[in-house]
Amino acid sequence: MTDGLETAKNGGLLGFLEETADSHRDPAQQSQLDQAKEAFRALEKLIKNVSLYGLEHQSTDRFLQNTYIAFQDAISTTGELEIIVRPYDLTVHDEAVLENPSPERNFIYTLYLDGVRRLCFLPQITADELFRFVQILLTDWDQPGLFEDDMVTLLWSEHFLGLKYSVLDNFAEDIREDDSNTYTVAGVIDRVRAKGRFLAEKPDSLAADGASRRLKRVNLSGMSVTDTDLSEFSEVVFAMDPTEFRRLQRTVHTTAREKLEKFIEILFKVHLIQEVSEEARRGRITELFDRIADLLLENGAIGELERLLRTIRRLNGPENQVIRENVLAIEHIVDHWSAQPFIDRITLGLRQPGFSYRPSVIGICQLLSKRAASHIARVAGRIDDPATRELLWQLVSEKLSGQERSIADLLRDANRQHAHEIFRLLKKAADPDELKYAIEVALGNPDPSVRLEALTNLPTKRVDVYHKPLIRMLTDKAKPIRSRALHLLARCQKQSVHERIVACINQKEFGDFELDEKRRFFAAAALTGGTSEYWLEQFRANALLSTKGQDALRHCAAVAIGIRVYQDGLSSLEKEVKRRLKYPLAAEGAAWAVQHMQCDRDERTRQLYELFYHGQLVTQTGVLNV
Amino acid sequence: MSDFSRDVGALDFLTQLSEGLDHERIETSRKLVNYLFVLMRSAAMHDLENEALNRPLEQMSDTLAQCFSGGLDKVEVALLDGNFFINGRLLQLDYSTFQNTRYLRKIYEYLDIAEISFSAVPSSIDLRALLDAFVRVLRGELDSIKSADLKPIHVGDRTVENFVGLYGEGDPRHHVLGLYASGLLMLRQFVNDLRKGQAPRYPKIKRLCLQLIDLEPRYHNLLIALTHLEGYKGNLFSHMLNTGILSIAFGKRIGLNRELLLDLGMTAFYHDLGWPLIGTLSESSESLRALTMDGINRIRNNTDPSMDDLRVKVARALVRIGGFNELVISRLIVAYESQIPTTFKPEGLYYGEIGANFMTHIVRMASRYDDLTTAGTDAPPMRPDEAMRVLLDDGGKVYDPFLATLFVNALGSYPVGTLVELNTGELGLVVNLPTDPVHFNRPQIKILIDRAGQRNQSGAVVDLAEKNRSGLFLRTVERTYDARNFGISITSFFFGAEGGH
Repeated sequence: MTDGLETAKNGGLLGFLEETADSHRDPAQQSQLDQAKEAFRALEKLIKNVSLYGLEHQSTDRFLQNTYIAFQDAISTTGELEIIVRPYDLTVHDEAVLENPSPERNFIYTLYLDGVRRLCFLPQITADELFRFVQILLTDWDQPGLFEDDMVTLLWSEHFLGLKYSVLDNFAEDIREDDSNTYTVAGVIDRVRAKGRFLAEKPDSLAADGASRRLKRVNLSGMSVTDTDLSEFSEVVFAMDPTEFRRLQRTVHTTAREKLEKFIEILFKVHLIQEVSEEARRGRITELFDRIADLLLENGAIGELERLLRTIRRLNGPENQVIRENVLAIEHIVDHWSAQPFIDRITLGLRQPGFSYRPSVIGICQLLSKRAASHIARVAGRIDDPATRELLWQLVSEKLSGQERSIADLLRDANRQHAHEIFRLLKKAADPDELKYAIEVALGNPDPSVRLEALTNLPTKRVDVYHKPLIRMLTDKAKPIRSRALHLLARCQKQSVHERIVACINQKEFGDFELDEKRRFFAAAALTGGTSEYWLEQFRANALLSTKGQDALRHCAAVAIGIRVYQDGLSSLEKEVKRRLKYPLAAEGAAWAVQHMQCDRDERTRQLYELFYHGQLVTQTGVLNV
Repeated sequence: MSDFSRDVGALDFLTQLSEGLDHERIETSRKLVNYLFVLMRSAAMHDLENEALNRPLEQMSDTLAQCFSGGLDKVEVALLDGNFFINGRLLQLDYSTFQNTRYLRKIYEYLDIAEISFSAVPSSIDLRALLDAFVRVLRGELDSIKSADLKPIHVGDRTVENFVGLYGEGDPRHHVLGLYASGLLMLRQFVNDLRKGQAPRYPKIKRLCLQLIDLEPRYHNLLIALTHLEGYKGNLFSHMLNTGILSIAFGKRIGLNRELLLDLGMTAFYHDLGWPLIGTLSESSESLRALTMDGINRIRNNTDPSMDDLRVKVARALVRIGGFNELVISRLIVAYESQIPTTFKPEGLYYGEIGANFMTHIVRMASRYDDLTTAGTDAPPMRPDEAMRVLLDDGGKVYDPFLATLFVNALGSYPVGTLVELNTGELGLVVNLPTDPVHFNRPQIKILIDRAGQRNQSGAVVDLAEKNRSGLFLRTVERTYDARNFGISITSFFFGAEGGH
């Protein structure tokens, strides 16, 4: 066993390896160290909080504030807080104030690796600067966009006023590729400092190329600038004339505008995307152009985006030559941007009053594919300004063909006005089936006014094909819907329809309906089919002793008989009218039925209209008091 | 050379590039450091003949053999600035190496060494000799391990390549020369990494650019002087740096903000970077020439004027570096627009009627200036003022006339390094930019030969824009000479030892 190390280092090899340097600190330094420890404890908490909940979380503010106060305290002791960066810890006055146990994803180690050796927090540091510094520490280095960044470049780009940092000047890996010293720092220095050769000393030289005789033999080898010269070098300010300056500004600005346009054109020219699989290609296109859009939209450059999209649209290939891959790529880009997320994003501003980029947004929407129609239509529903709405509907109308169903799907949760506008548009659709689909979708909308809108837009000439949804609407929760459905169904003379209406009448809930509605049901049932005797039977039932509910049913049955113009029932009706002990509702129904049977066709139609639309029983002389 | 024909688009290229090779190297490096520490720790704890050492010895030998089998002729485990470097590559720590390197660093510091290197795979006896020396130092029996003969193992200090002491404290040349030298070597490494298919250190390029931007403008003259450094000039990496320096110096003069300067600087670095990436040039002798500007320009200038294929190749190669990243768009555009014959105007490059980017004009002017002042295979280099004259007299044929005038005004029609004879009979070298942009032909001169024709080492620096009481200029450039013909090397004039501390 070797004991030499133990003798030499009191405590064996491990003891030596673990020992720490003694520190001699004055009271001010000790006080600053204690405060620095506090500050870094607070910083650790802040970092932990940000790591757990993200930068935007409300609790971050509180942790940041605490950290900021703790740092200011630590700074105030000596006017600055100097941190030395070591590979494994940050130290203040030779003592660690922050350590990270893991070398992986460790910002201390990263700072060190990148050459940062000293951080100095100054009193003018703001909470915002401190927070930005924390963000740098927490950088996710896997982000592709950071491929050429390190801690130093990020610190540089933040322009901190309250945080100074020192970076190791010659922090470079040893660069040696061969035995020669040509490619070493020493080699470069040798060459930099190598004296020039005085060629004029050679008889055949071109020295002093045409110089005057007195200069022909002048050897300036070895001459150099002096220390005095160096100390006198000063910055030479380049004062540009204002006209030149404006021109330069214009040049820079124009260039910036064209940057993305050129970039995209180059990408198309290099056919970057065509050499991989179709799927990967599409993915790449999507990612690429989303980032372009993000970039422009983040900077509010909607006009530029419009310009860019117009450029993309014409990148099919050089003149008279269409490159298929380009065409496909363009289609894919446009199609991808015709999806909801992109449209929602670019149209966001349209909801603001006085939004100045409206023409650009409309222009972009115009350039998108038909697939955009439904998303534009959805956006139109959110816009208050009538002129903007109208412009958007105009766009939707232009892209409508083939998009009817996706637009109709909006009716599932549209509000009344939006539904109204959608129906106005869809009525233009050549295929009636598309309208039918829209109506069926709208009938599922939770808003009764939208369901009513759907029924209002139902073409009365094609009621037959709608009878199933209409029958379903007979059990709708809203009375206007049921009533409108009844009115429409009344035109549909089918036994099955009749039976479904009668089935509704026979349901228990029917008893809770108001009289005008009950009457509509009976009227519709009478108009769609069945036998007149059935209504007569209903009228005669409970004739001697009726409850109020039965009285109402007899009233409705009388109306049904009248509508059917059932002459065999006339005597029963007249008898009811003349009864001494009258049931008022039944009597009035009977009276209406009698007069109705005596009217001509036009008058009967008018009275039915009143019955269905206004829920009233009217005669030629006026409204019956029921 | 890696196969670059398969396009991998966005930044996944960076991770795919030589990932396997890198991973293997990193793992071996970690093992090496771990086993070295374990070996030394075991030696300190046990007798050297103890069986406990057998396994660590075997592992160390095997790992070294693995390194040598990869074609290395030397394996170095060096400690530099607290970090371990294995054959010049920084050791990337992980859980297994984190603590061990910390301890090994202490051992290195205790032994006062910076490097342990192996010139061949050591035998068990060789390794035991190293451990024996280590233990004897610990016991106090040996003053320094460096004095022990341990071949094929070398233990000792590392040759530090720096120039501390070359200049006096506070001498700006220390910083400027360091910046240029490390920039030059780093860009060379960068270009070579790309050619070999290894992932380069991109942040270092950006750091270099930031350092150039942050350099005090009053020392731009020193930096511009270094663009005339012979021996490297004409190589792609040197051209990248020189173009970057001239572009940044110009950008700063005309007041571009930091972000634009960064964009411009990086653009200048990257404008010809597609060339080392073009796979088709990889194996031919043409490829070797292509990495000199002479070779690149030969191909570029002799290609069909439309040059679409070439441009597309270069652009495609560059897209692989940056992928799509809003930060690198300018670089791609400028590189694309620069791949035209040097005497052609960058127009008609797009489907639409779009002209060249203003950065393209700046970079092309800076690039041309550097090319013209470089000796070619057929032609001697132009004098700085002649090169600038080419840009000024262009008259819009190649460059934007407004920017060309601005470029010359900003850097002077007699750029730094021009040897001038004055109407006073004096001879001097331009050492700084003109103070007045209106008089861009009146730079600051250090007088080397006085009116009497005498060599004057301590001649003053004079401003040619200075006037006498009558409003006449005191001095005016009469003619210019090639400084080399008078024995002046522009770089040594500014950085020579004689003029230093």
